[in-house]
Amino acid sequence: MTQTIDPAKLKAAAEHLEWVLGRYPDSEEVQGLLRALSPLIGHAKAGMVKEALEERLIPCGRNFADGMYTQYGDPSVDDAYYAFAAELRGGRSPEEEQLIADTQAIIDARNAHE
Amino acid sequence: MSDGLVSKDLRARNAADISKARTFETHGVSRKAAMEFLRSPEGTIFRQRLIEADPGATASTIVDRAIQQIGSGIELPRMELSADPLVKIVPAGRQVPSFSPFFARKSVFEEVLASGKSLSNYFALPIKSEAPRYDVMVMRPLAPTEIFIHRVAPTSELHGLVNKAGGGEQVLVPNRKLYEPPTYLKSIDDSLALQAERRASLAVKGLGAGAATVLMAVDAYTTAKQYQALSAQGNEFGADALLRHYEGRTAGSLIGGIGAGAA
Repeated sequence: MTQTIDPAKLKAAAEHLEWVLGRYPDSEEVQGLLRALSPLIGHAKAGMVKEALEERLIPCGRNFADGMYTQYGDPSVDDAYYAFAAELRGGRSPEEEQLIADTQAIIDARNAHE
Repeated sequence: MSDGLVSKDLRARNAADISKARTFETHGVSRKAAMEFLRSPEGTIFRQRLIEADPGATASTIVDRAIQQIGSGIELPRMELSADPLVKIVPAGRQVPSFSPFFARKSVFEEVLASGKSLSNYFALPIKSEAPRYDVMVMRPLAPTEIFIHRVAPTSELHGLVNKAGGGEQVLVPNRKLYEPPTYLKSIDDSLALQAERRASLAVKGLGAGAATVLMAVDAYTTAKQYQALSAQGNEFGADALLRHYEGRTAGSLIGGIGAGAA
């Protein structure tokens, strides 16, 4: 299914990601990421991203797969990036939403046992 | 190109993109296929391990992280219970990132090393992780635990200028807390550099034991001369592109030696 961009959601996600990355001014890792993503964030904020991107074309994904920003959790760089990436893909599919809900249930069950 | 990896010039001209793997593309299993796996019993265990590794992560991040890790493979992972030590190569002197899930079985890695394959190409490493010399780090499980095994997908970087075949067996470790911290095992060279220089040098000097070898020698010699000419003209971009085309023709087996072979 071809997904379409929601400009308002993409803009909000871009602004949130930019804000989160700005919370780590002393981390060269995070600031390097901000520099790498800035052109795309700028385009998203300006409403210039018109078509959904394939996942493999969204920049810097490898770093997230490799857990490079997992340590930056408050606010969460991973959360903000993945939310931005989801909007760049044209939003989450119903199957994705269902999988996320199922994963939340696993987290809740785990927390209930602790 | 004397080290058999991406040239220093290409690195210098794309330093920012390379350092963040900005243009790194993995041509692995689809998001849809990865989600189907995650709904399976094995996939549920994979998600549980990711949650245990990072209890503060949101459900959406766990799912996206899982999809990306699984998408680094050309096939869906198979789960095994294992007590085998795992290894990871890092550029000499660097540490293993604390949350990185990408490892290889030590036994398999030793076989790859003995075969003389280029580690960079076989494991489809991002350019930033390439090095002429690597430290091999090893870690052992605290107890037998599930590992998720697949073959690394082909990758491309710098908009297709650099392509890697992948195909190496990779182990995904969604929860590193189930392992001891990685420790230094040994240092090694990227085999491609050594092999390719030797082979291309022999080819260019006209050594040929059969038509295929002769043709390869002619191709290598022609490419080497063209490379020299482009470099002399200051056309480093063209020279690098030429080498990449050559790599495609020779399945990545000789690229490291062109510069040396032309001498």
